[in-house]
Amino acid sequence: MRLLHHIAQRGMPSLVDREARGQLKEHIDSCISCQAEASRYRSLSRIIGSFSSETYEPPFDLVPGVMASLDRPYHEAKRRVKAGAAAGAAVAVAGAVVIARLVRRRAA
Amino acid sequence: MSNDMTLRGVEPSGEEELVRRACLGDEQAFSALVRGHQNDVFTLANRLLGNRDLAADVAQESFIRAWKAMPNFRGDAKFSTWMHRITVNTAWTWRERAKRKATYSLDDAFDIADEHQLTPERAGERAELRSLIGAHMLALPASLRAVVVLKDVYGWSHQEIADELDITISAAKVRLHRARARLRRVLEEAS
Repeated sequence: MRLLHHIAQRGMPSLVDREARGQLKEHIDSCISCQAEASRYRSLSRIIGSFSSETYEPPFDLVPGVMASLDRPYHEAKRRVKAGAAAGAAVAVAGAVVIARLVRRRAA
Repeated sequence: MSNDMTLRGVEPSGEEELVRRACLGDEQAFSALVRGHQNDVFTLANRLLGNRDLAADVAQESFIRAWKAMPNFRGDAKFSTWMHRITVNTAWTWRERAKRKATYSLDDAFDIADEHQLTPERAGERAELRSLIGAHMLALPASLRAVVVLKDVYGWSHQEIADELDITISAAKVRLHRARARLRRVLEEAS
């Protein structure tokens, strides 16, 4: 029963560390109660694992919904940054031109 | 309930190109990635939350988060793995809403009907057990359900689970043990 407790503490038989596995197997082979216990863990493992092969159809409008939502937060932000950068560059160029003209006038 | 078990995945080689283009802001490439992974992402969200409507919302938000993060995607992991992490993270932030809206509908999250290839008796037995386990997985507290779904259905490591759920590895192990113990008791009572 100590080994049975060991199995229960560790979860699935496959997770028990290597050194204990031989000892465990030996015990299970001779213990009907542990055989039933191990069998239940194997069944549980098989059943839970079997869910992994299944995927389900999402609502038909998932893809359009995602694509419609992409523009606003991401691309609009990018556009704002680009527009801001362009406006900043235009102001800088205009300022440079004005300064250059002033410098020329003073020099003249 | 959907019995469509197919994953309309994208070919790995084609996917790399789509990911590369999506990283550069190509919406069409990203749309193809969403189409290819929508079933997988939706299924994971559904299993974590146990609610089809919320799962759809979480799937949508996960893809939107992915789009925003695409420029940072370096390709260290597969796109599907990366999407799984984003989905788990999104679902985890939605868990409070999931608690309020929980339907515990087995049909929503764990399909038990596709047993056509077995004999009627065997299919019946298996369906019954899967039904039981599926129902009890959905009835587990979200913190236990997330760990057992990620470990036993999706094969995540304790480390990955701990990282994504923001818990310690020990906590992940303890929760897994508790979840399995509860599910094992279900089998014990059934047999």
